[in-house]
Amino acid sequence: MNGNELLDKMELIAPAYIEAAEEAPKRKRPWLRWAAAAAACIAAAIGAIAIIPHGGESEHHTQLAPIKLSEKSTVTVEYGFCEPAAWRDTELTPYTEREMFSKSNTVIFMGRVSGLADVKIDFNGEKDCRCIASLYVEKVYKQPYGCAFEQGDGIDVLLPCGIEMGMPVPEGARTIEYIDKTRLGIFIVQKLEDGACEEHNGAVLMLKDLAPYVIEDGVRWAFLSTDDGLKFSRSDYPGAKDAIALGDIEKYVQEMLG
Amino acid sequence: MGDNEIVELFLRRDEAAIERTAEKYGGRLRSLAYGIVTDRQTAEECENDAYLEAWDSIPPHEPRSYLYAFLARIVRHIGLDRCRERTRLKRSAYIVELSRELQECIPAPDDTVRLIDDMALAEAINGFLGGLSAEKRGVFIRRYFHLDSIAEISHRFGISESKVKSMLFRCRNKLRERLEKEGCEI
Repeated sequence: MNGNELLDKMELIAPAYIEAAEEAPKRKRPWLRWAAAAAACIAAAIGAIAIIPHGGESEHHTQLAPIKLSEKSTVTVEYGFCEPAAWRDTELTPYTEREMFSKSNTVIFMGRVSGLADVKIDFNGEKDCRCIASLYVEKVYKQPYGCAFEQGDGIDVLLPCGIEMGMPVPEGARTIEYIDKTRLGIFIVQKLEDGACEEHNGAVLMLKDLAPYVIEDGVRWAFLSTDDGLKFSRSDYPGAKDAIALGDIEKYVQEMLG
Repeated sequence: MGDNEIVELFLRRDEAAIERTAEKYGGRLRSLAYGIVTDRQTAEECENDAYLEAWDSIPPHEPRSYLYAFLARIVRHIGLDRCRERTRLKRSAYIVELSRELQECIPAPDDTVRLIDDMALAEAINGFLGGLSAEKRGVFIRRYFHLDSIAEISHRFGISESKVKSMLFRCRNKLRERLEKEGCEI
């Protein structure tokens, strides 16, 4: 093959990428970059003052905003990693393949991870770890009534275990262990109800205090594109078991959504 | 009308399929063709030929969820063929320039051990694109799928021409590495 033929073969580029390249990109304006840089410096300075250091982990998290808990939450939360709690129920709620796509409260989108922050939650002395993932929306396939996500929007999602510090994830998190910063994937996230909470050992965590959206378990709700191929639960999505690229998953998702 | 309904018209051999397709995607397809052949009349010919090719291809294909991309591939293919056939378009030199750039991505151009099949090549190309940022991916696709000039890409993304060139240079190297890593002797 020569360059001429490879130019022809560029027609093999996935439809999703072609469609995305047709859309007008957000053009960068130099003054905006200046303003963003200045804002980031100010935010970092404020963050550094506002966050109380927690031992050796403080340096890593000084740029993160403090977590504000609502009055209903009685746990304490701080940035950092800890081993996942043994008392957490790791049983997966059984759903059929069709049900994965038909839940009314889900946003299904292609997105890229732009940030990860592990949080330690203290339930009256018993600790658990979660991760808040910031995702950059690239393409939306489905969203609940009242949501209006579009390309370029950010969405914060609560993951079921800690990830950011590179520690091994627990059993039952075999897909999201491939999540890292800049990872591209297709995600199915659920919008949290106002009253959604987790209660343990006499302490309550209002889940929306951490993020407005959640991934229910670490196995089934993400399709991740990695250098070693697609990572997702092929056994839970038999209709996509032969998928090799994220474009195949996109087609499959669109078929499932009808 | 939705893509699904348009594809249904093709499948039923209803000629309204072409009218509906032209209404929905004619402008974008003509614009894509014009970017390749830079000649308005030839671009219109490419667009019309693409409708005929789509008519012949659906069925067996059923591009319900990717109709535009399906048509864009056809238009691009026809446009490139026209450029190569008709030197009067004076576009062939540009196609040669782009081909020469992509030649850099081929691990062993003079050592054809085996032909890589399209599926493996698609996986390699899309895997490579999936590892790029949205901006770099957009720049690469605008250059080598839409055949945009450096100046057009610079304007589109609001970045300097030198940055576009260096971005493309790095992308080509990455694609070459990817093809080498996957053992794509093409």
